[in-house]
Amino acid sequence: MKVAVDFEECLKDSPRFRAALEDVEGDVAELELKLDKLVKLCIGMIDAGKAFCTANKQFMNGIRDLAQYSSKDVVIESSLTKFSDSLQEMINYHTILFDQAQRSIKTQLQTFVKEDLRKFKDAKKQFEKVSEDKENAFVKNAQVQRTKQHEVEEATNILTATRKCFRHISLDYVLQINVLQSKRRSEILKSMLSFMYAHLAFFHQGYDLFSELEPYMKDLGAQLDCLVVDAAKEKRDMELKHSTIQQKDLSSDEAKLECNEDATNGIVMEGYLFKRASNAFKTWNRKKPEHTRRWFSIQNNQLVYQKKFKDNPTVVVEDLRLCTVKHCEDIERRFCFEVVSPTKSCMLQADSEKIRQAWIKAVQTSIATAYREKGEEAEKVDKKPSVTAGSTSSPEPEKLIKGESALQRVQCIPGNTMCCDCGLAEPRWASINLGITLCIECSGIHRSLGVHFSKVRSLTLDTWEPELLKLMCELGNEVINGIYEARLDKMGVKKPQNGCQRQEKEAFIKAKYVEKRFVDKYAESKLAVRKPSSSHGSNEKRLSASDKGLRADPPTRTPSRSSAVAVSSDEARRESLFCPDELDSLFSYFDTTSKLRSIKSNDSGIQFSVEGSREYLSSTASSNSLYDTECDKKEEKRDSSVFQDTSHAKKMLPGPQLYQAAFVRNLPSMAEALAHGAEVNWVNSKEKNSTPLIQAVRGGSLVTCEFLLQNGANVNNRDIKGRGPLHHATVLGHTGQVCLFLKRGANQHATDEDGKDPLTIAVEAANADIVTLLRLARMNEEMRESEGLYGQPGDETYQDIFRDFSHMASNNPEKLNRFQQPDSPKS
Amino acid sequence: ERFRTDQEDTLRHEVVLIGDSGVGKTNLLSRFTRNEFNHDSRTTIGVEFSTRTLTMDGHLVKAQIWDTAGLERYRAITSAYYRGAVGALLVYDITKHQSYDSVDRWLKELYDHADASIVVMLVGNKCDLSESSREVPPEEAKMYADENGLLFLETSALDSTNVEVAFETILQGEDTFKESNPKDTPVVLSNEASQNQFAAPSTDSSRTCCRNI
Repeated sequence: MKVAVDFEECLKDSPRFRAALEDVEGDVAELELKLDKLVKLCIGMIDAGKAFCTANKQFMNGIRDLAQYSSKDVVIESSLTKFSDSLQEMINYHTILFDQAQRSIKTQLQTFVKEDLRKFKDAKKQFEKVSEDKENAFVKNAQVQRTKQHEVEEATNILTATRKCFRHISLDYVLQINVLQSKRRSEILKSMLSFMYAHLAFFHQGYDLFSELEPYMKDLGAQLDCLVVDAAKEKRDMELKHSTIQQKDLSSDEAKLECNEDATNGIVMEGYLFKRASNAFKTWNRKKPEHTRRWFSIQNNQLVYQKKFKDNPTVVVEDLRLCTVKHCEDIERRFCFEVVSPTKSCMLQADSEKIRQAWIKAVQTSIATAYREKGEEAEKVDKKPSVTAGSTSSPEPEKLIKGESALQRVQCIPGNTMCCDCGLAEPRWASINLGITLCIECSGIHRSLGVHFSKVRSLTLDTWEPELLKLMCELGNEVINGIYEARLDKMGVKKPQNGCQRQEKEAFIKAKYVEKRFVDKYAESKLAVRKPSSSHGSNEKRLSASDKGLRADPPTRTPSRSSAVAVSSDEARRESLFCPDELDSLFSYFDTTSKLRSIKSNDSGIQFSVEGSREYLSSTASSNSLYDTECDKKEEKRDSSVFQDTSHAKKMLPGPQLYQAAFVRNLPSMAEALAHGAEVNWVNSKEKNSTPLIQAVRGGSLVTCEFLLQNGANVNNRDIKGRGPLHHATVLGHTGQVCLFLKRGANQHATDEDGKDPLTIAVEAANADIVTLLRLARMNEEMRESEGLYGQPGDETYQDIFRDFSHMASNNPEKLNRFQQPDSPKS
Repeated sequence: ERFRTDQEDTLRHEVVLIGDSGVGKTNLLSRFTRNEFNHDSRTTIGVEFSTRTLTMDGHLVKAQIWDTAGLERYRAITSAYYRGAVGALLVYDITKHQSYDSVDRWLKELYDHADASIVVMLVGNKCDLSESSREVPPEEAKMYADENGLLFLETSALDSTNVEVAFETILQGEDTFKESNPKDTPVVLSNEASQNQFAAPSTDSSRTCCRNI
């Protein structure tokens, strides 16, 4: 061990010793300065380090935040979380490192400086004092005179003592110096070493941490490479797409529109369309534009639109199956098309012809798809309460007979509980011109035949006009199959069963209705013996039937064998039309159970004047008036001979059969005539070119007219006097028929040979209801012309009033007969 | 269609004319829509329609007037035409107290079928006729109108007195009526009208009133 100051020298207290001391003292002072500085630097470093850790921690929290935000991207989230965890760990290590630095350098060196160096300084002071004392003792000792023995002795003693003390202290001091000299080395080394070990630990931990993390990082690196490659590829693709779309866009200048039938999100087609406000008439809000651009889409078999993404879409068409779509060219705006549902229609405008075509195609495709796919779902649909249906439909005070009730009423008719073509139970669809019920699949096939063969409606989803429902109740599957499947057994053809292939059904239905292959064209009308008139038939029925035969049937006036047959068969027909179970169904259709009960129990004539039979009774009256006022007896005879000739040949020609049946309102016979190929607009040249429809008007039956119209009768065909159905109905005061014809587009401006149009006739007859209907229709027409009120069947009031009249005509016909009685003189 | 303009700006207001037969509903209509008067017009059967487009507050308003038959047997069975109407002119003949007596019945019919917010104006027609033939004093009718929240005017389809005002008020009334206080508007309007138009004859009418009693 190297000794800084020699102990021997210390005892001698030589100048060498003193020089050595001076050296050491200077050195220690220097050391103290250095160490002080080092401690200060260390504190600065630690503080900076702590600040770094805090900043680092904040940064790391930022990473954590980003990780949480990217919770949708698994890769980003997990990697960021993992990295931030590692970094957190590193921060912890850093904190430890700085703690260590504090302990090893700051604390240790400070202690060394403060304690050991102070001790040294104290020792130094002591030494200096004792050294001075010793000098003084020497001086005193030297100054003592020989003579003064006592003083000499004392000085010598003091000197000795002081010297002793000095020696002692100086030895101590030297020891102290030497100890310090050795200690300072160890202290400095110790603290530095521990600091370095702290670093070692820090880096070691860091190394371990990152070694552990490394595989993951490598893995991520590989992923990143892939990502980069993919991104580059994607970018290329996008650029390609971009350029192609740009090219397409430039060439077509239109938004891309595609009908996507198999769309997984259920959206078949979407895009912007202008929607014409449905309350165009009553747009009180002046600021509200009449045409609004909305985002439309076809989804889930519905046509909906929305304004903002967050808005719930507004349903325009609840069920596309009930709709048709058509072009609209007769209006000012271009590219318009109309989606017509039973309750309303919606006028839409595309931005271009192409887009319009695309939309029309999309709607049509969806209709077709809905038919194919929806199937039995329909039943579920109609159970659920209707969703806010566009909120456009006018407030309907008496909602048209809808859904369940229509179904129930129609199902009461014989044969209607099973599909007319395949026998499947609970058919929910109907063909309104045939008067039959169908299952969903057969209804789809019927639809494909075209409307001139079959007009399909839903019994549950459609709204039923009262006259249509009545029409359904007059025919039925049993009646129609009696006609259209007459020769089925004879031909050995098997009817398709439920579970058959669609193609099989399709072939059968085509053969049945289009080719009419099973119709017995040569057989006598089977309708006459369709049902034996039951014994408990009410008196009124017989009465009315015989009444009919006696008064209205031409053949009775020229009795002959064959005509007698005709009469009886005709009578049977009339009877059969009101056979009890049908009557029941008729009554149940009108849902007047109380009335029905009273009819059954009471059996009096007055009660019978409800509904269908009522119409019949009034028709008798009007037919009388017709024959009394319009035709002379001669004509009558001629007329009857027409029928007589045909009936003589055992079989009437279909045209005349339809003609006659229309007058006597025998719907089954009319259906048969049509099945036998009767021309629905057949003209009877022997009777002033009258048509079946005009005959139906004369017969006074609304349902008969509706049946002919549904089967393609022209509502404007006129007789030789220039009078069409509307003229005749007006003359006869048949308000319900006037209402029906106007609804079906009759031209009310046509004049007869006297130059009179229906309105003139109605005003002359002072028939307020018919005048009102005619004027209303005229006003509506003018309004549509002047304002181009496209897309709407008329304004709300117009619709309300016509609905009122339709209901009265079907449900309370007596209300409309108030002008009939006084104006048609009785025989 | 002379008045045809951009349909997006045109409003349609339906107004019905009701009242006893012979009070001059059809002539009020023809005066307003065609500026015509027919001395021997025939009784209305069912309903008649006429339209006239006018500008109000810078907006085009298409007034669609429904003239209904006064005679019960010539009235259409439907009452649906009341539903769409925003205003009604309930017309009586000032020279026929009987037609004024029917006002109650007409008002009931109107409120039975029309929208509750319908604006109704009581109109005493034929005010061109001499005061000696007057049977309904304007004060009486005015009071009745005030009590029942109706607007009130006396008109003459023959000399055009107040015809424009009556129709324009009912057409405008709809907007102002709904936006401002519904009670005050008719009163103010009727006050204004009576002050403007009947300043002179009001003394006479009070005499006739006394005479009638």
